Amino acid sequence: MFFTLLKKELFVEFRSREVTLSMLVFGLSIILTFAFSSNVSPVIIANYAPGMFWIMVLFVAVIGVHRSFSYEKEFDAFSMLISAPIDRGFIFLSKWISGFIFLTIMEVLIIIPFFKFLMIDFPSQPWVAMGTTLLINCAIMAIASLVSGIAMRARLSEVLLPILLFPLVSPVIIAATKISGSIMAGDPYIFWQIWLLIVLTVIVIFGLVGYTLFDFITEE
Amino acid sequence: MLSVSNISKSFDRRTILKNVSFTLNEGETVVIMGKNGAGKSTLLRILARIMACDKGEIFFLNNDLLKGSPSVRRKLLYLGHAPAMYTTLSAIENLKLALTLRGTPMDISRIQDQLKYFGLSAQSDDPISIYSQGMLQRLKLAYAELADWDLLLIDEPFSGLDTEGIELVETALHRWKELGKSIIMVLHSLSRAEEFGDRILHIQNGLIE
Repeated sequence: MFFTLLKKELFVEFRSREVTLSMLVFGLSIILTFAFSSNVSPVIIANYAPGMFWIMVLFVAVIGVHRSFSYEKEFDAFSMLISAPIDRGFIFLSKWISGFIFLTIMEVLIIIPFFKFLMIDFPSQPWVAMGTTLLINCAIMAIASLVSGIAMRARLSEVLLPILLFPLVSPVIIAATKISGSIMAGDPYIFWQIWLLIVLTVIVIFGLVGYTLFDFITEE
Repeated sequence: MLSVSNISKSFDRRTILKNVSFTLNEGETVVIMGKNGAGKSTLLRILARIMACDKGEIFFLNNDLLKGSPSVRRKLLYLGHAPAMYTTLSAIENLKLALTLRGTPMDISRIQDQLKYFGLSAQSDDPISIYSQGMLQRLKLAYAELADWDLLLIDEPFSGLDTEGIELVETALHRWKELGKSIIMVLHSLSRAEEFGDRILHIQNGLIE
């Protein structure tokens, strides 16, 4: 049933392209703003680049996850899912994994403009950078999917989503910045392993909490 | 078949349902009536487990609907005001998805046959966002015909329909009754309630009278 739900998420997005398109436009706008508004040396930019990147990813993730849940409200489509005789935890998993896929696609599309426009060198360990980025995406979307599920049924969901999400996701963004900064600087794994453990812990905790609680939080 | 005991629901300290209790026998059609905002749709959404109740118990086919596993809902179908389908998908895609989620995947040819019967074959590949209210009602009826259910919860099935659509609903309701299916239906028209209902429940001030 999980694959049916995941296929639905991907198919609905393939039809409308609303989530990825809005994420991409926002991400590119932020890169251009960073590139043309700052006039400092590439060394300073390189120091701040990981933080800038992950803050951009956070905002892009919020846009994506909000859109992903708001189309469930149109024509009360979410009722089809939650009244069906399925484990509602699978709805959370499908939202989480599809959000992860959309966020990763968006990053693939904006990573080259990000490095080129900000004139930063590519990391010397690209596979490590890619692997950690995928894990961080997974952690961000686990929190975002759970919080969006909670906020969706609230009256002021647009306001509630960032209020609940930003404090919860802050440790992941800090860890992501530290990990990316260390990889860019060529630091050995021992220097940033604690931050990676934080990211892994978030994935496990929010993955389990989301799967378990989605049965209750989806009801009006 | 269905036993509802002491269901209560409040919104913003305003009580909508107060200790609502009733039973439904197999093959019975119960019509729920009441003024706007009386809690008729709320009761249906609680029975479909789309909305949580503050307290109470619901047993469906001798299983606890509120605390039981998702499979308890397998023979229960809810058709609310809204179509509960995805606007960007076509009628065929929506029905295929809904039926797969209910554990009864179906051939496209069978889905197309039902859409043809309900006069939607010409638009079956169009996204349902362009459908009129009447077409969406017909789509819901096609879904009810295809789905495997023992208890149908249906909210105002006649709203937004033209004469031909009303006849289709009437025919479907008569057929389901003949097949011995159980239905809980929200209606506003007393004449229709008397025609289709074996029993009429009036909700007033949160209580069933």
